[in-house]
Amino acid sequence: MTSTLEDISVTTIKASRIVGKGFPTDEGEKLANYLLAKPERDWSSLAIDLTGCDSGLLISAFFNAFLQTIYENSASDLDDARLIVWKLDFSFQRENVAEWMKDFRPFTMQ
Amino acid sequence: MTVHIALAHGDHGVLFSDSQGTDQNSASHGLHKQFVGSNFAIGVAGYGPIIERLFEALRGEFHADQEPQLDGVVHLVESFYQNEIRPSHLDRSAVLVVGCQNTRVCVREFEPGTFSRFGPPVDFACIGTGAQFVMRAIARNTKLGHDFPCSSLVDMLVSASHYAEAASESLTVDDSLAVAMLDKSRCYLLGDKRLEVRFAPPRICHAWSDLAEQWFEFQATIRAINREITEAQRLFSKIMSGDLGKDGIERLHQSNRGVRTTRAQLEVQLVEFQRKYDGLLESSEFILPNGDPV
Repeated sequence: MTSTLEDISVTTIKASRIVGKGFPTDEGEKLANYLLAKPERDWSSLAIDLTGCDSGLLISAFFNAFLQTIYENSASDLDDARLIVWKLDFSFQRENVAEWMKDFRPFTMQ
Repeated sequence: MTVHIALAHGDHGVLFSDSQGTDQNSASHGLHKQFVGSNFAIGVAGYGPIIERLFEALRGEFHADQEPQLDGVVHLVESFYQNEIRPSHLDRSAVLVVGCQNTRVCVREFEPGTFSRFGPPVDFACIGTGAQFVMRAIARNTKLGHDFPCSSLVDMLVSASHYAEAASESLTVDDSLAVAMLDKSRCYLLGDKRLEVRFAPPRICHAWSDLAEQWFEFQATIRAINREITEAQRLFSKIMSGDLGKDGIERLHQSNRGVRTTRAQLEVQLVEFQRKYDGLLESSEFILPNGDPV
């Protein structure tokens, strides 16, 4: 879905069609791999709608795994991926995700 | 059939209660099995008519603005069973009280079928048909070294939620909860919007649908904290095959930060909720004892 507000076009992806009921780490990786597989991606105009998803899924492990997967496959996209707009049900989630996106530090797999 | 889980420490305490009613033929939901005073909360498991009669007796005795001593509440309940319930029916219910005694919050348990008085003050108690599921979960956690902290209100909300989830495995326990919280001798009630809240301060009964909306976000936050812990345990389990490497340790650090930030969010929610609740209690709007406005 694409919406236009003034001259800004935002692509919104409904995440519940992609992520399932698996472990947060696995689902975060799945979402990242789905986006990485898209031939043309503009992280700066991307919104991911996580409303309706289980609050037990949307924990730090989900978002850390998402960013770690992006780092491992396309490190140059990491900083842009931090700017993704996340649509969430609760204010505590919005506060948490903003902090996790900002503070995430990738690590090197052994 | 039910479960009541009570935790207490220092200035704080919680009473988690499910809302399922079960007889031989059916199950119902939305029953508020607690009596919530200004500075205490009582949970009763067992025969519905006894619960109803006890709560009516308590409502007749304690005005909404009263702050009785816990000993007075305990004595009233003991007298009720002694004077109002036939000996053959004494074993048809059990009672938990959470309140302030000698400047600290404590839990006291009463099994009228066995004892004539409440037991001594303790930090934890659990009654109802779901209690066996809770006790098994506690025993398992203890064996595995999973130490759920219970020092603060946040600790207690997270721990009691974890055990309430274990209890909901029982066919006779549901997940529509009533949660009474004690913070420095003030009692707060929140819980599922489906609850038929009748035995709480009238202003709270009147504002229940509004208060219940906040429980929805509380529940989501607590669930997120418990899942952060579960996910960290899953990541740590790589140690069982000796495969916990540096990346695993780093992921555990990240989970630790996740728990910390989400607990901080729960603290904020608690402060906001208590401020709203206190404002409701101090409102000048006149409310009838049944919760209806004049």
